[in-house]
Amino acid sequence: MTSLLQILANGLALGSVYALFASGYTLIFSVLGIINFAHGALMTLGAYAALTIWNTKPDLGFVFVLLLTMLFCALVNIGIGRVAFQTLRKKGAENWVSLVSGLGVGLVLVNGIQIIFGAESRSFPVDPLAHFPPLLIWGEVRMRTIQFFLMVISIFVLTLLSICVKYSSWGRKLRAVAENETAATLVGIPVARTLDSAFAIAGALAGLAGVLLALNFGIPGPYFGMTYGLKGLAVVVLGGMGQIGGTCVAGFLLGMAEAFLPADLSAYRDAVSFALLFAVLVVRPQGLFGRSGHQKV
Amino acid sequence: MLQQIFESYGFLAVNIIIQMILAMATAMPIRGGALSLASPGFFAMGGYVAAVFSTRIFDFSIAPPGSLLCLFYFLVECFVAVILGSFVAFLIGLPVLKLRGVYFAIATLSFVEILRVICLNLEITGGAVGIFAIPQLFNSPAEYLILLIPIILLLILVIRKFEGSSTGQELIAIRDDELASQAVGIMVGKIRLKSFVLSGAIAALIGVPAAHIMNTWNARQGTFDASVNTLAFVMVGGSRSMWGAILGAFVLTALPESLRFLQDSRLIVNGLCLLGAALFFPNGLWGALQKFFVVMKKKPAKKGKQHD
Repeated sequence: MTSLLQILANGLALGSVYALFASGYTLIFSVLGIINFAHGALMTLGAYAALTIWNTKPDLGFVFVLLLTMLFCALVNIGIGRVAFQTLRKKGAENWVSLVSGLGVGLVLVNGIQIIFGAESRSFPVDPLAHFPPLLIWGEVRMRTIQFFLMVISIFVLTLLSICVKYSSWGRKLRAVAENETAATLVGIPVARTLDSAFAIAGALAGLAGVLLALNFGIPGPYFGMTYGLKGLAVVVLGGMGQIGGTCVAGFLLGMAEAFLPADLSAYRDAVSFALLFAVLVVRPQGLFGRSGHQKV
Repeated sequence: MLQQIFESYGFLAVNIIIQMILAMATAMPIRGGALSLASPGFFAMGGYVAAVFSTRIFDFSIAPPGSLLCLFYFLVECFVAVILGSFVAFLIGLPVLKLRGVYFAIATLSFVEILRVICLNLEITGGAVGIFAIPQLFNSPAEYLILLIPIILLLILVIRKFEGSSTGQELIAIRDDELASQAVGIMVGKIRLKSFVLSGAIAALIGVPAAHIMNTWNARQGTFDASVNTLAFVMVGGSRSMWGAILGAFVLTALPESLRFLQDSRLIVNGLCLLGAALFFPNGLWGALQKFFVVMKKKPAKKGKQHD
């Protein structure tokens, strides 16, 4: 019999995975209104990039490799943003077309990875958490150390991101560009550079999520990032448009909902998030934490 | 010779027609500006109707492939699938169609995912393994064309009729400007619901022959991937016309097949094609073709004026 606290801990662990994945996703989707189907693929790319660095130089420190991977993913995502999204924005194409271009980029990335690395599962050759105990135990409650780190990091990252978007001058510029590009240009905001920076940060977060999730689960194959894409979408929409803090809460909420599902219904676990999403969309289309009256066009 | 072509490409031809019809179903609500990703869900539902009826209720042992009784069973299955598809589309559409843009898309996507998980767990749908040994209606895949070609022609007629009707025109008006359409008295919700129900019915209908041809049916038929694929048909082909969806389905179903010689890098090229289509033909291939022909037509006309 698992205690209530243990279920709570499991939910938190699961939720932090969703929140972490959604962190980069939400920046592009909820601020700029673009669904980036390539985001999951980019996360996979991050995991494989870190794997390659470790395979060639196993003595590099974890933090260094992590930063290198994040930089790499940031650069790649700037490229993706320019090619697949900004050109369409300039052309004034309908919003939906970017779904297809993002999907195209995602397919290219995932299959490129598959050709280079093969489809089999991999894991990192080094364990950066080796000098920590594998399990953290507080009384009845157990949690794997990596899950604890995931939780702390995801809360930290999403809080920081939320503060930056709301209060920093960068965040204000970004929101201005999202609101009205022409007006933003008129008041002297460098639109292209601001968009580049958003994609760079989202890319870096994808890299971070890729490395950390690969530490937690290993790399099950090139498609693993894409499978998070859908849940990530659910988390972002549940949290509400433009509400990065909401994304964090929604991620944990979803993790909790799945953890609290009784064992005999566990086969329906994947349906829970979508049933929740469906219900929320019908009852509260602006998301759990979104402002009401926000026009959804 | 002809027979050989039929035997090797029969399945591909059948598959292309099925995907075309699925794309037509997906394009239907999109014409009203509602980006629906639900059609693979209805498609899967139609397939399950065929699978359950033909393995549990109908006795196919007395109906050899190609016989009249076989056709009768097929028609009954189609009827049930259409009724079920439109009923479920009505139930889903009622609360969901008030959402707009990306939110509507995500709501339909969650419908597909919920349906998939339910089908994975119910006993009647065969759980994770699905339903096996669905009887064939004909002896070879190519013979299905006898059924599918009339079906697609009929659907083209129905959809053209729908597009030409006042409802169809109102649908286009809604896509271009929802507020303005409301202002001139178009019942936005009702028109959208009609298009969504029609889409669900068509997608469920085409699931029936698909299940018979595939021989087995499982929850993998209606997934996120399938949703995205059918959406790509419409987007690549062009969402402003039914022909765009048909063209898109043809190109994207035939393309991976014709790229087979590339082996492993096939899917990369497929992805590049999607990207290229989105970047260079934002109005779809059909839109680009139309533009091309308009330009071609205009040139001689200009010359004529100069001669006058």
